[in-house]
Amino acid sequence: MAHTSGGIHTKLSTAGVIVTLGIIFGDIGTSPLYVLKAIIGDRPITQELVFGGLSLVFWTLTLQTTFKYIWLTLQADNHGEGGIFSLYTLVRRYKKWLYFPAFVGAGALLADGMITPPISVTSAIEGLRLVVPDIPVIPIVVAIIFGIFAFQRFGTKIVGGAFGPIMLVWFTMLAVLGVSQISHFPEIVKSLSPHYAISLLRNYPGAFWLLGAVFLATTGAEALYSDLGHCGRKNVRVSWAFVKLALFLNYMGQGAWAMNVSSHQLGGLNPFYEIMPHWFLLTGIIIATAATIIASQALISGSFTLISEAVSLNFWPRVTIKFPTDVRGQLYVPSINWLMCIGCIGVVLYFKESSKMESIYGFNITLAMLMTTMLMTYYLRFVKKLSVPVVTAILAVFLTVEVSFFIANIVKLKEAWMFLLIVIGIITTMYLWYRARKILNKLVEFVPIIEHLPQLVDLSKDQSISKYATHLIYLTSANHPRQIERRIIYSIFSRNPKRADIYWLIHIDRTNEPYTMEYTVDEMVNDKIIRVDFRLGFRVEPRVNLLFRKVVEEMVANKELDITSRYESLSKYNLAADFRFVILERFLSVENEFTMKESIVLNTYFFLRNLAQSDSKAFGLDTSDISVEKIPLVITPAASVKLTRRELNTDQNR
Amino acid sequence: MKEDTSKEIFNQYYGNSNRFVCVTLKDGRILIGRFIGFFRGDEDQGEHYIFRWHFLEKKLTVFDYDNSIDPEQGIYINQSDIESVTFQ
Repeated sequence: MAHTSGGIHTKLSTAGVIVTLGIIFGDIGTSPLYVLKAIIGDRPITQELVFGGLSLVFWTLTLQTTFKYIWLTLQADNHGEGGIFSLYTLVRRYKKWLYFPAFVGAGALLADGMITPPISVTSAIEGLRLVVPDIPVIPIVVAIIFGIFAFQRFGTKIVGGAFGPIMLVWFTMLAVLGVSQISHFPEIVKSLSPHYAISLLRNYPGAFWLLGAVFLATTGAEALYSDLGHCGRKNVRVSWAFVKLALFLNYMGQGAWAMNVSSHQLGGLNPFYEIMPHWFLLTGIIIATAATIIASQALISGSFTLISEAVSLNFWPRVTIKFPTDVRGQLYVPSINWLMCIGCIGVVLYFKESSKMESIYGFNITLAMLMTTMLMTYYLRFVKKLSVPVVTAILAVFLTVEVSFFIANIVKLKEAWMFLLIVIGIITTMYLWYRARKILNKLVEFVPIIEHLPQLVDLSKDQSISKYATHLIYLTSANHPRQIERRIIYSIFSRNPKRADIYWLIHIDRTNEPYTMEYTVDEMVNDKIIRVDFRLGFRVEPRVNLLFRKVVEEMVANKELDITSRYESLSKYNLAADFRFVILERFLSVENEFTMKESIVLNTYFFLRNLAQSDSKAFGLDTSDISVEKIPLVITPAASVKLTRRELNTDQNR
Repeated sequence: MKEDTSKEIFNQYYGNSNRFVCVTLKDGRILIGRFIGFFRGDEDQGEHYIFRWHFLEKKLTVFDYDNSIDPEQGIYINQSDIESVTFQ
């Protein structure tokens, strides 16, 4: 098997291609469950509609999925990783406002995570009505969705291995079912001609609005890019050839069935199930349900990754992130998991039927695709160094296609307004968090540490002060190794002077690469003041306790550090010394004078921060010995106060 | 961005142990004292390397001890308000 580390398949191999089917193509692969049904809807079945609809689907898949994502966007990998934030980190240096399309794209993708599982699972389970007409679909869908989310905490290491083979069965089933119908109406192959798509758009009444339904065929394309890191570009491209063939054979099979249907209207029938032989229905529904669960799983995992990246990039409040298995990149974010679960179940209970969910599906994805296009433009121009005319031409093609889809999907807002609110809520949270961090960074006062080194050394030796800790550790945000926050100096010297044998300063620098894990050690004063700089990728969790322990172990192994307890009674037993972290937490004090905008941003920030994870938990220090000191956000230098001392009136004391 | 002299001020005039400096502000005021802290600007946003200084005036060091650690001492000066800096 072609492995890198942690079970990630990146080199081209048969196993890699099968795994890719399970991870990447779940969403786009389950589209045949509802696309043709949505295109035809209540309209009379005509050759113009069916051929035109299929042609539009084929050329949309070709332009949007094959050309934009498979060929072009997959080139924009950030050390093998894809997704809107990976793309953002590649281009952010070129324009400072590029955070905005990244926020919008991420918000849209997260909101989409509340629609894809309901529509996919409901479409699959609705097929059961063909076997048991009175079956209660909603409770089954709710139970499945709840089960998917409840299962997230265990990770997918064990069952994940089955995803690829199941999707292989699914796509094979799509192809076989499609071919079986095409044989009854071979002319359907002509629908591959773009002529039918153009003709439909030109002549069919209200054809433009059909694009909203056509677009559903390509909704998984954005997720395909997000999961690039799990599979590798070559595996994705090779498996896409198979997936596209299977998808289109199935779409054409559904079209062939529709052309032969005698009633000239769907009448509530779903062509996807109608092309199945009756004896195969139950098996087909079980396979479809499994495929939709896998599709939902991919989307949920993608949402966890997105939030984790947003936290690392300081776009989102710190939330608990767990690692259910040792598979690299596999995360579990409880808060997002249950929010999505509530959202998905809410969608099922509100819309009840997949045909009604179709009316809200697609808008968010068009938004995400437009934002990716925007970021890709900068990637192609500045990273790939393509000429302006070439970039403009590519941009023009995709903007034309995507803006058309966007407009066609806008009508869905009538039903999907609550999702627009969710997107706006996510974008607002990201923006406020981002702006607040910018404001806060400007309120951090630095001093050159070199000026305080002699004082620190003297304090360390001062036996008149009781020892605070043997190893005292502060987290510093000073990028420059010779600078330090004034609040740390103030904490050490003026807030209950903290004598320690060794002072540590830990700094974490986030890199633009996803998985960097490096550190440097700078002993400013030998065995007295040590600064450790970690360089961590934006997909690496900053678990300072683990990282710091590793550094200490390596320093001990290299005989650079002796961590035997320095207390006489303990050192003779060779016990390890004590380590103590000091976390400085800022709060908004009443003395601050900010502009109205800054006040709103900062008040929201501190409100959200109270809901979010504490610094000590976020850095994985909750099991360590920590002291939390609260310091005001701004310490305004005291104004000159006119205070007059009066002589004590001795008569009054009598 | 206008010419950023903040790095030059930092390299040449910053420090507790240095001599007192004389800061002339654009409004004509003259301050004598020491720079004791600084606030980094967001260079991505076109701001100065240091956009604000923490300055301890000589007249405030009335006691015979170094109070430069105390954040409540001193005044803030925006880099954009500084006309020139010289040693006293």
